[in-house]
Amino acid sequence: MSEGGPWVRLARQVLRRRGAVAAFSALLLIVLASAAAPLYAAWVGVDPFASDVAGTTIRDGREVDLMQPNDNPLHLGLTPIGPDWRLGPYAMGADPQGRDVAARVLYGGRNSLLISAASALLCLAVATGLGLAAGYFGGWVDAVLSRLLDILWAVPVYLLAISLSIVTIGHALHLGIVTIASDNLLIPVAIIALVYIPYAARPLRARALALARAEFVLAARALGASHWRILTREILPNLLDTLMVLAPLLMALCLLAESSLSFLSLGVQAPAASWGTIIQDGEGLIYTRPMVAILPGLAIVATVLALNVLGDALRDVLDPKGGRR
Amino acid sequence: MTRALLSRLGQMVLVLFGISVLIFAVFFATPGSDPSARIAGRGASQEVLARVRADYGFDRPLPVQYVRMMEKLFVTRDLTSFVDHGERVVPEVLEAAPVTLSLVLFASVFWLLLSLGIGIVSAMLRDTWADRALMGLSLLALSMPVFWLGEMVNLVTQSRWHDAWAFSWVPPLGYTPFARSPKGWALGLLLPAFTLAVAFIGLYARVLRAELLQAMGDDAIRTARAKGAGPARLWLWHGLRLSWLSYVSLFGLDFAQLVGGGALLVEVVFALPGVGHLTYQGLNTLDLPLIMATVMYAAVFVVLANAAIDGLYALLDPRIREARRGL
Repeated sequence: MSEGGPWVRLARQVLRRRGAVAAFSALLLIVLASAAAPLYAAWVGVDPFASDVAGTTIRDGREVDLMQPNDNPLHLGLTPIGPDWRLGPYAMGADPQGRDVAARVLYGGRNSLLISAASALLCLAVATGLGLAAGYFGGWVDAVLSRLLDILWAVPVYLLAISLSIVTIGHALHLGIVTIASDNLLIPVAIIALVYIPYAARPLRARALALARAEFVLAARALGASHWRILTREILPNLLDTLMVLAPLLMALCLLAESSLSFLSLGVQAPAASWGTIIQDGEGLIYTRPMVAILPGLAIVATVLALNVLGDALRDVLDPKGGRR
Repeated sequence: MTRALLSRLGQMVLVLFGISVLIFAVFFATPGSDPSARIAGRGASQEVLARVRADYGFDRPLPVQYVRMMEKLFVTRDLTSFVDHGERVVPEVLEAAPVTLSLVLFASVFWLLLSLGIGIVSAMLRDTWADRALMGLSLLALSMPVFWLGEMVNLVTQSRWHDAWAFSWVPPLGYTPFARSPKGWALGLLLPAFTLAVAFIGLYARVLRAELLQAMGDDAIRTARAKGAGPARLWLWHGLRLSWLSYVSLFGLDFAQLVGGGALLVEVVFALPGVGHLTYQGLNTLDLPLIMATVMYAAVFVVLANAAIDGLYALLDPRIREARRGL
């Protein structure tokens, strides 16, 4: 019945669910499309990072301005050109600085996906360390770590992220001999990872706590195994299923946090794009050129939904009893 | 009981102290950043910088700075903004609080009623197409960035279909105080509150469904069924009684976080002058004292609310009281 290793079996069980297959395909498509952003920009011939308010493009064989006069009776102000839904330059219109929206959404996907994946991984790594230490050693280690997590968790997640961003943004950070430029993507990655550590560390601590009292751990200890060996060889492998369920759900949360920070101009810095910054660019145009904000929003919803579906499927397979959240 | 309360109180004080240190450290002890330059705001002159440094005592050791800052925030309450021409920060926060409270109260009515309905219906119809559709919608709801959803709501109700019969009642963006016009207050908050509630409806419906289904395996339910309880009594009375605890504890946490400033994005998108909007204004002008004050108040509120909820539980549920005593 079960050929292949545990990984093959897990993959087979997950892929038996139609929703999970669809979610996985959608994610793959989004990742590939974002990875191909430079190809797309080169192919249609646009520069998605240079402001081009005086530029022109070809529509229906005629050369037209990127920034069009407004429809109001006095023709005051300028509105960027709208979508024409045909493959080519400005297929989804231009943003307020005359840049190709479609190309920017693809480039934005690179940053959004990169930041959310990296911060989810970083968060899981730190949370695993803390959870293992607190759950396995117990006593005062657990008491101190748990109180620290309580403190971190009491500050509303987005407010903490905003506070950390506002003090690190705009100026370069000087940490001893290392200087981190203010537009370095490591800054949002570290901030988002930090604010979600309590979210990830609590279930991991609970698992580690239960495992620390399991018979196979007692056996290992009786055989004289060191703490390090027990933690890495006995307990950590058994946390793997919890980690695998947490990973996609956490990445979904991180993606939402990243887009919110970028929407508040506190995440990815101009001229680089992320889905959140493009929605911010489109806010002022929401009534005239809504596509600028709609497109990156749909990309976020699709990605987060796919991650959540995948996380649900993994949980159903790995932990059929825990149906919460 | 008294000892449990006292130890809980002690823990709370410890957490409050920890939070104030954490937030202070974030704003004033982040390595490699000069707080006076940030407090003085963008493009501040040398004199302003010197005044900030003297006023906050940044030349003194950190513990002294910490004590002075807490004094300004909670005792004398005369923390002043440097960007906003010496505006007092604390009264500003207190003035904005009713807006946020109205918004979150409104939203919580939406999300409690709708998630209760969806969760119960979904659990009763488990594994039918209706259950799958409701759960799919719930997942979609909690996958949407709230600020984007707000913009889409604005697009539809303020512009595209504003003149259609369905949305002609929608007032322009902004807030009307209850005292001026109760009707305007309610109408203006309806859509922002719903937008804020959407993700929570999805989350809570999923949690409630899972809890209810788990409760159905309980002995109490088997007994009730054996005694001939009908489906309505079984689910609504016995089922909810077994599963309300985690649902309500989740609600307490989220409600406190939202009142504490988690509603920032919705307030920004719908131009509601609440605490979150105040924070947002502080972001645009890099008004650090203002942001720190809102974050500090938010965290303090969250801790106090959680303690109140915990206390309420201990009073309501004897099992928790016993568990506490056992620890």
